[in-house]
Amino acid sequence: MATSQQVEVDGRELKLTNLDKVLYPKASFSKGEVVDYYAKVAPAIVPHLAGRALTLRRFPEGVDDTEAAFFEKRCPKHRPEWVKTATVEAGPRAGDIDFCVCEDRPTLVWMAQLAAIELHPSLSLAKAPDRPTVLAFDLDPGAPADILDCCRVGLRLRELFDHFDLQSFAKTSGSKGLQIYVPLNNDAVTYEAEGEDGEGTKPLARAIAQLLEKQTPKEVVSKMKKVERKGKVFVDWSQNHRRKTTIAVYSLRARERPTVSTPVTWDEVKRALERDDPDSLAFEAADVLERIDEHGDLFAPVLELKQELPEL
Amino acid sequence: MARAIWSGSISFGLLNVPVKLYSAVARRGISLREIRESDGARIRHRRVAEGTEEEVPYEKIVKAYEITKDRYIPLAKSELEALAPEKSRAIEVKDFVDLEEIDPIYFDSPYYLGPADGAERAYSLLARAMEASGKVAIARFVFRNKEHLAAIRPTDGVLTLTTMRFADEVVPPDELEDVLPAETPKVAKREVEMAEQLIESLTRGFDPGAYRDEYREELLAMIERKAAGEEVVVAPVDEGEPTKAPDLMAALEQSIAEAQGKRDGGARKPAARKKPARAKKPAAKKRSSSRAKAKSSK
Repeated sequence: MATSQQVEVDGRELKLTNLDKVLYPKASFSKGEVVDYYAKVAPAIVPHLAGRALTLRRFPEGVDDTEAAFFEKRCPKHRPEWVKTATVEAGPRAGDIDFCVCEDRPTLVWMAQLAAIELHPSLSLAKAPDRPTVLAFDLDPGAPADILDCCRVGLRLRELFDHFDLQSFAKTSGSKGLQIYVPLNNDAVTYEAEGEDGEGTKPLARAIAQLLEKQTPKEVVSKMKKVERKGKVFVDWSQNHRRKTTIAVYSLRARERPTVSTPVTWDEVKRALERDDPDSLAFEAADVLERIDEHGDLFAPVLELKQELPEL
Repeated sequence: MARAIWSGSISFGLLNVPVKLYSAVARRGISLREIRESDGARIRHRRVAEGTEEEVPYEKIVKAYEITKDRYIPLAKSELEALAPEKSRAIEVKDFVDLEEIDPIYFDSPYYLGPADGAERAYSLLARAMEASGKVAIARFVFRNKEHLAAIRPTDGVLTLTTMRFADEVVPPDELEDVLPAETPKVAKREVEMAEQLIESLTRGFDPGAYRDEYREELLAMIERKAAGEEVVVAPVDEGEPTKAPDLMAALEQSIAEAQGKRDGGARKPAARKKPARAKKPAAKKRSSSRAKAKSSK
């Protein structure tokens, strides 16, 4: 059924097509519902995307057809003229790429119309691609480890940052893991350390991951290799790189159900652990909209808080 | 436990030793995938009929022999199968020869032979007898639909089997006479002596472990560095970089220990988390006091 309709979103004209196409077959979640979710979550997600080069992960044939899915760094040529882009150097071979930049609801809806289910922004702003605004850790459980194991590691990270008087924030990856963000919003910070006492997020993140691994080698692994991850939490420090992206807070994930990368409070993390309840940290599109109504944007401080990297 | 890739028996005369064949080579190549440079999309190869975009399913594809350009003799799978050598489970020993007689150019792939269940005694007996005679068995056997020639050798009670090339598979040097020397040009005796001396000085016992596939190691190292987010443009490896990380980790560890010491000693444990005052501070660098602040703000 090829349905097509012209809509107006915040004064912008948009054509939406195939809204009844089911993108999440196991949850019967349609493209219309994806568009609806992004339209509603716009006030919360847009500030986290604004000014950042965005990589889209598109699923034109739904989440189950990963063959048809693809990452798209180059902002599609057929975009409306009002969609903003930013030119960022994407590597010695890829050269400069015009990335999409999302600063408003119409752009978000247009991306949803492209079946861009997952939004992966840079950790830095496009105007300063060498300066991360956060230090990020992606805690990825290797089965049979699960999100509760990630919670344990997450709490240790929080405690570690406590020692340095730094606030940290947690969000679910929307998939299997947990991600910890330390807001920086500080011009002195770069990804790579420069000189002896540079302020690199990457070397620091790596050292922290190695320290966790050293303290509890049975629970934590800091190396990439898949084989070593079994039953452990992989503390992925390597996302702290100018060319890497991390799933956006409030982005849908292409899992069986329309789960969302959702900010959680440290109390919720502790409670999930105490009650041995991993499901309490799984949120779908509708849950997330409710949570935002109730708590507002728990991740707002990640954009505002200015913090310094610890001096070692 | 290693998995046998073939089983049968070594037979010669009245002797029959049931054995299993195991690969002696760990394939350590690195398989690389193809992706589109711009966005990392996987490249799929599709079988299409030439001149069209039509994809041809696997079961519709047959092999053919090209007799002249664009003229093919198709060979059905059933026809090829009918020709395959009769499946036999015997490694038939034809002759015993001295190892030195075999030019290594004939050797192909190495395997281990292990005893089949219950044949351990016969296997050991054969291995010991061959070791005592110092001979290599030349045998024929059918493996993977192909007739093979093989050399069986004992080493420390274990039989190894090395498949061999048939004589007509090896190119004789005179077929390459335009590039390989056919007759010996005159060389000065002194030069030969010098070369011999050089060879002598480089002669040592053969240690296979002394030679490694450095290309493979470098490729792996490069992949790891790239996976770790480092942009790798040229090959040279900065030796200083890898050692830096552990130092930073040690510094981190020490720094935390100090912070802990201060807390446990002087100040109270942090109770409720409140926003530290410095959070709103501009990003000016005042590093010397940052550790002290960790305490004072609580």
